[in-house]
Amino acid sequence: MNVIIVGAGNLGSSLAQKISDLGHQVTIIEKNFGAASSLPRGRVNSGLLKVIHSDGSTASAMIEADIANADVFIAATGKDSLNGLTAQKAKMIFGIEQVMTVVKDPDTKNLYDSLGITTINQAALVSNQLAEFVTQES
Amino acid sequence: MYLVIVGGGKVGEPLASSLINAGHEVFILDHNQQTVAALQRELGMVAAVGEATSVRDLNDAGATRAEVIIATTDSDEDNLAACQLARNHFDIQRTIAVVHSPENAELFERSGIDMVISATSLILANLATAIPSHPLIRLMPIGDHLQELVAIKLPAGGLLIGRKLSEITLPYGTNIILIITSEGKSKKPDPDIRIEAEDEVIALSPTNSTAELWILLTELR
Repeated sequence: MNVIIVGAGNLGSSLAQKISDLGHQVTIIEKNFGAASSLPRGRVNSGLLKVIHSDGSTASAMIEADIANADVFIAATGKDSLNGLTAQKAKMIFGIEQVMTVVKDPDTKNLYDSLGITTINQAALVSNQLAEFVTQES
Repeated sequence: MYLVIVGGGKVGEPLASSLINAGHEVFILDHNQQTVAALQRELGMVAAVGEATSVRDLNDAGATRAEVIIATTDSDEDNLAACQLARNHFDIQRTIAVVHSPENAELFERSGIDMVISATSLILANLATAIPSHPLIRLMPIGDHLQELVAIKLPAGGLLIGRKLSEITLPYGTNIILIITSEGKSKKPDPDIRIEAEDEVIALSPTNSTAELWILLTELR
């Protein structure tokens, strides 16, 4: 599977590594050179994990990331609205079916659901898991 | 009419001021404390600090009873999200957004924003008006400024000279109404009519596409 991830922050980087571990081809787009440095060097050098230094919200970066052959597109920058715009561009302009976006604000879920874009809310995931732990302990 | 404006900067501030003068009720949301303080000094208590893309802040700005939202921040992604949240959460009927990157204009339109104002296209079209060799003349705005009647003169060495109208793909929504030859005769824009040098084309054009139309008609061989 070909996966494109926009944003190599903490979340984007660890996501890239996990998906790459599962044997998928990952291309990560990050405009900040420093942020991409935490990615596993060996895998980047061997080409299994491709890094593109560019603004991932632009069509030119998406084309450079070979979006025509992508199966999954994930917007994972730190800014909700930027993720929203990027995800919609991948979906509506490039016609990618499986598009996900990371959001901090749970209020935006409704909007992206209606656009057929899957939202991933980090805070909700963490709190659900913690709640599960707590209930298991008791 | 009650309007919410997000972004109280160079565009939002004079816009709010003219809407208030025209008798409308306006509320401005801006993330910058100083901008808000200045707006309050100029216009009264019609501005608050808040994020354009926060449902809670939009709610506090009275989005539930607003008829129109106008997004004028300098960030395309915030303008898009603000309009989409306004429609999705608050059922605001009319959404208007400024778009800065021309690339994003298509996405904005496809996302269902009612009126997309492309800053770059406006500047391009105005520059085109100022270039004397093959001018663009804006004759009249039509229908809420969404469309306009324009006249464009075709240069002698133009790419389209000699072509039939049916061979030319115009920007979406554009209609050629009349062609006036250099001798001042008028030609009906039938599909078989050929474009000749120094023809003046009168067209009804979506305001956003005027720059594109001008480039198409005046491109040199």
